[in-house]
Amino acid sequence: MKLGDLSADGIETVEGGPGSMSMARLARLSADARADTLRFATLEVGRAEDWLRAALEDVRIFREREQSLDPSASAAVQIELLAELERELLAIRSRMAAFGDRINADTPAMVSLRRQAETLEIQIAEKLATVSASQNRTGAPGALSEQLAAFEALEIEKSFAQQAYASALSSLEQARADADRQQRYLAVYTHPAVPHDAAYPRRILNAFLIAGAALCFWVISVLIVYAVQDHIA
Amino acid sequence: MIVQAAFNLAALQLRILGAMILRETRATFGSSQIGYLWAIITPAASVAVLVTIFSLIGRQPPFGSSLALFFATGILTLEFYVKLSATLMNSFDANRALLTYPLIRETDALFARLVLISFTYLLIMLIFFSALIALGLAGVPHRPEIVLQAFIATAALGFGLGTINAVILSFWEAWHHVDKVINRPLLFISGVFYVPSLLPPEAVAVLEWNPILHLVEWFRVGYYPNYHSPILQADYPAALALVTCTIGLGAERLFRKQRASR
Amino acid sequence: MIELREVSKSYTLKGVTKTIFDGFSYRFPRDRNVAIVGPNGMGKSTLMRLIAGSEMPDAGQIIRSGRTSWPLGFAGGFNGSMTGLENIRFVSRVYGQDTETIIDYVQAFSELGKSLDLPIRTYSNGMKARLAFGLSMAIDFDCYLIDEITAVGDEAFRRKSQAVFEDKLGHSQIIMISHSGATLKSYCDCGLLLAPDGVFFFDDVEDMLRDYHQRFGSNDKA
Repeated sequence: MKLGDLSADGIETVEGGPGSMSMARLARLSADARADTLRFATLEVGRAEDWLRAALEDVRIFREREQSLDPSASAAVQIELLAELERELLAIRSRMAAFGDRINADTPAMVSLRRQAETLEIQIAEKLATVSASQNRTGAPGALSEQLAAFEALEIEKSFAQQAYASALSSLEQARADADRQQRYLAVYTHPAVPHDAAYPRRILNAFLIAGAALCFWVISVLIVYAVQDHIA
Repeated sequence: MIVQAAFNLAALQLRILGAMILRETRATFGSSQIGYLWAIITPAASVAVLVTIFSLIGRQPPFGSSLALFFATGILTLEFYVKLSATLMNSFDANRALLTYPLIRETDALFARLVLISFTYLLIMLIFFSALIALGLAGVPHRPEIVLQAFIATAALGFGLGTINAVILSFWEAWHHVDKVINRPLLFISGVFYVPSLLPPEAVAVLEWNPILHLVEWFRVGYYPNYHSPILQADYPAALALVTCTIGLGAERLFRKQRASR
Repeated sequence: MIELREVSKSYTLKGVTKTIFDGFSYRFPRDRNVAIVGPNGMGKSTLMRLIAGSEMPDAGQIIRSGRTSWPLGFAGGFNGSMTGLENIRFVSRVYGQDTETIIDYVQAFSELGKSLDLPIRTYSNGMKARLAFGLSMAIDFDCYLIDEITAVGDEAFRRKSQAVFEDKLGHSQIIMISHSGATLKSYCDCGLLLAPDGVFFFDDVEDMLRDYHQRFGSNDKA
């Protein structure tokens, strides 16, 4: 771009006028680009947010339905109980085995022990039935393993949603940072030189030239008219 | 009344001009029937010779793909100028006898020659470039209006300088030789064989004073679609044409009396 | 009608200026045939060219009404390399005449026949004069300017010219330069004498010729 001004003190006009005009145009272009990127990022964040909210809601509904805050924790409790019962059963059986040779099987102590062992076995079987789904299908509250499977799916969904939300938030942040950094700008390459006298417009020279050309045209026309008129002189 | 008189005068002028042009056709192109044809053949032949020489020594066209077109744009413009100025220069001498007829003035001979030579070269160029186009050696002019401007400027400059030469010649017969000396190198310094803008700056600084070079460049800028000519300043030959026409016509009138008494 | 008003004319040749006319005014009588006589160098031919308009006066005005012919002399005005016919065509075009009519007239009048197809430079002076004379007679002028021409051709041609002239005289005027007193007497009815001490008008050709011979001696038959 080449600019000039018709007077020596017109530098401000040259630098300020077209220069700032171009700057303003560039700023508008940048703002548009910025709004564009931000709009996409914000949209992404909103979408992730909805997803996360839906996942959390699913978990909440599950908990209400199953009346269990944390099926994995309750499963651990059940397994602990089961282990306790089995340990007790094992202790009774070892005592029974210890007594086996010396004491008659019909002694009251032996009977009591055997009864205890049988009760424990029934209890273990019941507990197992509640923990494992395959043996018992009594419905809600469902078998613990089923509950656990459903819960884990929900948990995974929730963690995905969380991750997506986090990344959307971070890209929004990134976009904002990018947009804030101005991408295009106009720099003045060469500042206008300040002349002592304006070379242009060559007002006087041009006036002379035009007058000269007009004079030539006029003289030629007159001479041609004379040349024609000579025929009847 | 005045309009009627002016109309009659114009009709008289046109009648005389027409008669003069017919007469000049015979005088300029000889008495044979094919004399006029020769006028067309001569420049065509000089272009053909140049093309042959350049092809034989295996030179590429200085610009574009056609040697013939490049040389034709240069030679025809140059020859138009040379022929016009030379014909006008001899105008007074050749038409001395005509001054017996009071209706005919010396300016009529000048104007008649201007019209005749311009028309002839217009015809030559039309035929020549049409032939080149038909042979596939050239494209149609890219901007015909610029070509026409260049042509008119050439005619004006040829008229101006030719008239000045005629006036000088009527006082100083040796001017004939001087003019010949001046015109001889024109073929080499008018950019006929080369693209002047590609010459070293020292050469350009000298050659750009030659108005014919500008006319040739002007013509090419109009003819070729992509001929860039930083050297071309069209106002230079145009201004020169205007000034020489003024001086020429003025001098003709100013020195008419002295000329008549010789 | 032809009128000269304050006409001045001078020639400069090799730095020497020769004044032919200086403020000369004269009105040619209407419908009279004027003979112009004078010694050589007095400007008879110049006067003729001024009247015709082939030459411009340095100062003053020349007023003509009606069509004036070019000064009809021996050779002038023909292009040597062009044929007789071409020269005829050119002149008739310049004067806005119908080319074919003029050619027919000149052919019949000049009796040049096939020579008209030859370049003028092959013509003898007599042939040129016939052509020039025929050509000017073919065009209807109101005033014929004749500079030493009628003395050409054989007896038959001269009679023919005379006849045509007689015919033209009814509606045209003649201004004539000649050294032949007989010619002048037969065509003109008044005269103009150009002498070093002035220009004199004579109402009668005879008177003028007498005066002329008294002044400049008798080298012409009266």
